[in-house]
Amino acid sequence: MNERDAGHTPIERRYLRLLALYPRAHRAAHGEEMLGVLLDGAEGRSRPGMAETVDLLWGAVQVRWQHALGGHRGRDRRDTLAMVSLLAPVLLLVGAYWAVRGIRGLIRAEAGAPRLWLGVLADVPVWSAWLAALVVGVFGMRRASVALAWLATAALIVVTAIDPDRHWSVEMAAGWVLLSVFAAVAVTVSPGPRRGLELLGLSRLIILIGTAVILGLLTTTGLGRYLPLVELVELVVLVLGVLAACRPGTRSGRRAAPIILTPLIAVSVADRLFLDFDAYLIFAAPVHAVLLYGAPVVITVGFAALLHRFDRHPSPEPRPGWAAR
Amino acid sequence: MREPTFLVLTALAAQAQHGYGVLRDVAAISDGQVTLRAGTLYAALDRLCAEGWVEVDREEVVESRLRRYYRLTETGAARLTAEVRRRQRHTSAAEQRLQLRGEGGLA
Repeated sequence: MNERDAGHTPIERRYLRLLALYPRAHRAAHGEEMLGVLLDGAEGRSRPGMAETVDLLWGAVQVRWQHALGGHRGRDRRDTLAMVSLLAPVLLLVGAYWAVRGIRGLIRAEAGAPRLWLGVLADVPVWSAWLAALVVGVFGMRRASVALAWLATAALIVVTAIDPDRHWSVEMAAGWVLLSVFAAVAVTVSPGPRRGLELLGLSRLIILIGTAVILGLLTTTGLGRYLPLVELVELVVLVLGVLAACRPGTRSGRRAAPIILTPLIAVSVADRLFLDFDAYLIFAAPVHAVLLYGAPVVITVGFAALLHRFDRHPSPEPRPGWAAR
Repeated sequence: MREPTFLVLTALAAQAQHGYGVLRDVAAISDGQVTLRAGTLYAALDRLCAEGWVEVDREEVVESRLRRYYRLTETGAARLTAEVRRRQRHTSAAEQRLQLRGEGGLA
């Protein structure tokens, strides 16, 4: 028995352990009161019943979820993710340029081999589904938007996994796959692209569409070939375009931009570092993949954890000493 | 509106109540059909307070235990009224259909 359990009956101690699973702010506001209600209903028992334990565990999950996406800080988070749910799919459509370019090449070459067409058209469902997810999301059909976003993400993972030679090596795919996953999560847990458009306005959406068009032209046409330091130019266009589209004057906008940019930039940086180190140490391909997928996830999770810590303060005012129990 | 939310709002409609009082009242309102527990109740109260449908009325300490009383806000009352009307419409429709069924169907 530790110091904090001293002076409590066995059932109180068991309830306190279950209540410790609730967020600190919730314990500060309702912990003592909940313990009173639980003890009122205990009726001489020495331990919580199974149904009561499950109910408290599920309640802790619900409250943690509500605190993550509830209240005024939660509104900020929902708005941040609504912006991501609108803008990330627009950037993802840059990937469609490769399919368009491939189809154009086959038409020009008058190549009719089904295998070639199959290879070029394999990722068309990905971009079509993302475009559809964006359009139906803007028109407020949230469930359809969520379903299409995950369908597109699953299709992208399948295409890059089964045909990595033709459909992007890991250093190209990792950023897009992660951006697709982030976008699908944002579409799912936020009010969706419609809310994103309300927050950002049509002009910001047009800025990002313009950015996507420029990036597409730089990466898939001859334009990029003649530019010095084209990768740096692409990076500058990407960062400026996303920052301009995200309304950096707002808190939600400042948070949305890193979520959108991290997968694409972190993968490039991790890949460059990997190549530098690989000159001295031979890394296996799985290590390469883990690094490229892991780096952006670690950075994004770290960023989210920092924001959560920055945002966190109990509300309403705690009763002295209760939250620390 | 989910059933626990509806029952919690109903329990608070006539007067402010503390947590244990709400649990007992929900059992009474539902004729013992629904047993709400503390985890579900406080997850609901947390959400309803955040949405402004319910607010803290007062606090008391009884036998060294804190009792916090909650009351329905005007917004909460309006939302509950809308939900009651929605449920009444559905119930009336169901009654009419069942009556028609008893009289030989729609055809």
